[in-house]
Amino acid sequence: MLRSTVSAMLEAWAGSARDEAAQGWSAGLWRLLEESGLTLVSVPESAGGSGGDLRDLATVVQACGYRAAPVPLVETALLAGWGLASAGIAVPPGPLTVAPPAAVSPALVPDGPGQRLVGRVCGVPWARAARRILVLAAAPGQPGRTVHMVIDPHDCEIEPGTNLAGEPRDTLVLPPRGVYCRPLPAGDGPDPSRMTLRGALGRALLMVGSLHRVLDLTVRYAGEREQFGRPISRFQAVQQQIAALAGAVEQARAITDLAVETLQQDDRAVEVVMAAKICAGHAASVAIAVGHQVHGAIGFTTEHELHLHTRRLMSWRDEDGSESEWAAELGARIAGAGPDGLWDLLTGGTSPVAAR
Amino acid sequence: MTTAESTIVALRAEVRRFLAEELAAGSFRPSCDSWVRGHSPDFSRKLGDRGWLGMTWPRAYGGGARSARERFTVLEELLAAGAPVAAHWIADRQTGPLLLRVGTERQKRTLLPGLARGRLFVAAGMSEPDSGSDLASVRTRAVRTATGWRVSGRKVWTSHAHKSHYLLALVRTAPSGGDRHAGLSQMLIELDSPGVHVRPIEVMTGEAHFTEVTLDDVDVPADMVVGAVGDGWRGVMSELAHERSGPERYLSTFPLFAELVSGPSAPGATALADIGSAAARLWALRALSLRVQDLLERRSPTDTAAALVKDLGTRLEGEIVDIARRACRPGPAGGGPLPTLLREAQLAAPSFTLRGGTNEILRGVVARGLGA
Ligand SMILES: Cc1cc2nc3c(=O)[nH]c(=O)nc-3n(C[C@H](O)[C@H](O)[C@H](O)COP(=O)(O)OP(=O)(O)OC[C@H]3O[C@@H](n4cnc5c(N)ncnc54)[C@H](O)[C@@H]3O)c2cc1C
Repeated sequence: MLRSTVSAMLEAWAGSARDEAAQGWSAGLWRLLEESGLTLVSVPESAGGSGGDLRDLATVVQACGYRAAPVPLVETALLAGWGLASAGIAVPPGPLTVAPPAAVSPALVPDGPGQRLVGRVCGVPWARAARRILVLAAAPGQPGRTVHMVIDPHDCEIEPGTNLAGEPRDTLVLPPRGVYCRPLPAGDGPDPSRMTLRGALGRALLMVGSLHRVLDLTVRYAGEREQFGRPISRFQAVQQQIAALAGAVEQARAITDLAVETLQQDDRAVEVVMAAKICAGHAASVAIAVGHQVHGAIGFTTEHELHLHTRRLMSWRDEDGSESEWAAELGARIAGAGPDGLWDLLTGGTSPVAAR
Repeated sequence: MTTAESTIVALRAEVRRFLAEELAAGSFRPSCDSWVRGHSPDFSRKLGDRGWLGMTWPRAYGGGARSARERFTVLEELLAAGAPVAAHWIADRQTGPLLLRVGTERQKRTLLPGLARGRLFVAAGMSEPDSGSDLASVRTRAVRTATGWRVSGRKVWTSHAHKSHYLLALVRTAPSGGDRHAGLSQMLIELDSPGVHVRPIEVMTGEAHFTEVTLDDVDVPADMVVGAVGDGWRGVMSELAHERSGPERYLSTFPLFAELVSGPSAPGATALADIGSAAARLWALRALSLRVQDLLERRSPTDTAAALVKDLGTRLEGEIVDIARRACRPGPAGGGPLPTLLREAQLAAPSFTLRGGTNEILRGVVARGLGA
């Protein structure tokens, strides 16, 4: 039900406003989704959200990936909305976002009873459109620890930047005197490592949607395009590539679905999310290569839809931890836990490696 | 050292000196894929003035009468430096050699000197909307008139037609009958002729280097047919050997590779192994490519070897992009040469295994060439 509603809405939008996807931000689509309550799915109603669980949100996110929807849905619902709600702060309407942990960390300066944040923060998704931005900073008085601070972007300057797909990845330039902001309360609040993990999951979900679109476009094109008097889907060389693509996409989807289910039960499940981002990254490389190869020159143009997805996949496989970064991390955990730990992990029993 | 070898050493030094001066003067920024995206008539003219275009052509036609090895040396230095060579690339690589092989004396005298001086640029008009891999299916038609031919049809993916003087078009001059390869001809069409419309097409790198060329009853004089009427297929196939085996098929990403190994951040152990493996294969490919150039010069058959160079080379280029990506996690807005080259190369990479014949088609050529 949710799936068909979201898909229909996005399909109608994509039919009328595809160049917005190339521009990387659509206020109109955002309004449409927000009016339907879709931008805060999985955020509790008590905090101002729309309710629903992680599975519901995953459905919406994948549909957005499938249509290259240029809106910060993951950032708003899965990350900032969850962060604010779990810290007991009411979630404001409008787009929200979170600075990636790798962004140059700003410094906190104590100022009377509060604190001021100074410095620059790079690569913030959709900062230009956001109502509030969560930024990581060193925890006051606790060396080595970081906390999320809430910033109103009106207090800073925003230097526009983009990823390879033209999606906004802006730089926040905090004023010399800094901006007043407040830390999300500790305790039940979102700790930075959980935020990182959710970021990876959200990115993997978007990627699975996009991967499906590339697969669909490729299968359809191969059946329509004729060379040497027959559809190119009749050539074994093309069939082999499409089969490899389908395999990679299904693999990514299977583990990403499992990650959603697992996280729904245990919101500290770590390894399965890493595995999802790793598989999505592998599949992205296959999809970029096969999608473009099968489409020939037409797919290399901006007149064709393909690039909306392949350029996102190029960017997304490196955002929120690349497949090699997560693979190194997962490998280290597995090596540390030994053979029984590995098998327990795969069969979904306990997660002994997480205890490390 | 033999005199031939010392000539190469001296020439290589001269090209490097020239490139260093141009870089210092800011006349170009090194880029990946510079033989497709780096279109600079100015730069091409400078190369022409130095005798670095049409190097192997006879002096009588404005060429330099130099060896294929000398030409190869200049080419690879330019590519490795990421210099803007797109404006003259097709003319130097394909059109000139084709004219020398099958052109009329008049065509050679009137066209070759301009090509060799970097003043005349040519675009390659083979592909059409319905004819990509299956080139023999081209539908652009030329019918005889009192003075020559009248041409109608549509070409696509024609690199730089909007910035070139001529289109070397593959057209159908007679129905194919039983033999699909019969009845095709190649002719040079002036791009400012009445009836020619050129529309640039934007590609996913954000640039518009290829185009759609519509030919609407374009009159082409009889003496602009290149080679015998009806013999176009052979011309195209011989061009493709030049097109496929050159150093551009493994050096498009060299500026990125060079920046990766010399850049500020030392590569980790995995990256070092990747770099070593890629360098070994690059080295081997250069040796293979040089061998094909020698064969081409002796007019020996090279189809299989040329297809191999392109298949291996373009795949290696894709791998180099991936090695760089893994080695230096690209930031979204990162400045500096490495992230910039990486972004460029990532976006261009999908075209490597398409242009000049797709790798699936090339592998067919290789297998058939081996008698499989
Ligand atoms: C950047 C760029 C620049 C270009 N510049 C020029 C230019 O200057 N002039 C020019 O004439 N052309 C140019 N081209 C066109 C290029 O030569 C064609 O894209 C190429 O030949 C493939 O044709 P196509 O795009 O129609 O793909 P198609 O022929 O439609 O092929 C689609 C897919 O089907 C596969 N396929 C087709 N037939 C078979 C088969 N028999 N067996 C197995 N697989 C098969 C192909 O390998 C490919 O993967 C350029 C292309 C690019 C990308």
